[in-house]
Amino acid sequence: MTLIIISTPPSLDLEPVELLLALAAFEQQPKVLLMGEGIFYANILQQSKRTNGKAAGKVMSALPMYDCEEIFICQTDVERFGLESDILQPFCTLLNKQQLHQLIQQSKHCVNL
Amino acid sequence: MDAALSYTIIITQSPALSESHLTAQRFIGEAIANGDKIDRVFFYQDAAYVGLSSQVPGQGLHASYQGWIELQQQQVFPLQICIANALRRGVIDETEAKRYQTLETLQKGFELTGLGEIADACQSSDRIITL
Repeated sequence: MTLIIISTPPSLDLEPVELLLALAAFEQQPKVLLMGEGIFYANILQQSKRTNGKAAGKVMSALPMYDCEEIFICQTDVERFGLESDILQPFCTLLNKQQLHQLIQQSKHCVNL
Repeated sequence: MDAALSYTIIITQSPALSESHLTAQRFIGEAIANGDKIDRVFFYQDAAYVGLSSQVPGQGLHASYQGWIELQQQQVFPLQICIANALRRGVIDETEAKRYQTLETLQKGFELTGLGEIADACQSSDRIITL
């Protein structure tokens, strides 16, 4: 199982999500861990940063349709940045420190973006 | 001696702003010396700038692609740049130059490829290292 860890904030072209979609298209069923500033990918209020670009919130909400359904968020970072649970994508799961370590240990590969 | 491992290296940062390219080159040099195999080096996001042939380094300095080309003389492995990321940054191979009627800017020794290479790496490489 491949775990994609996104720890950078949403970028202009959302390139980390492109990798997720590609792996899903190749039936890799990657798991996703959002941590650090990467948790803002799960913020449903995120707007597009580029004129005529795609909003991170909308792109992320499409992931389950591509069988990319296991999306986790570091609970410590959610609390650190003061994000309320009602603005997080509903299909994401909050993980505490111990669960986060287990997730990483269970993964064959971890790709950090 | 331990069994040889196969590696895919993913680099995401610009060669102009980060030392991750140099770190990767040193790691790969050691891995090759240890008898390990490099399946590919994949340049993603701003790391795609490494393949820009029009770089003009400062006097006495090397272009960022130079170290990669030299490493390939020790062991041949593909230097792959994500095609979508490359095109956004003006790194264009011969095929895409014809398609978009523009100039080729890809340094020889590099190739533009799709993200399917990472999917393949997840299946076939023993280790994936992201820098």
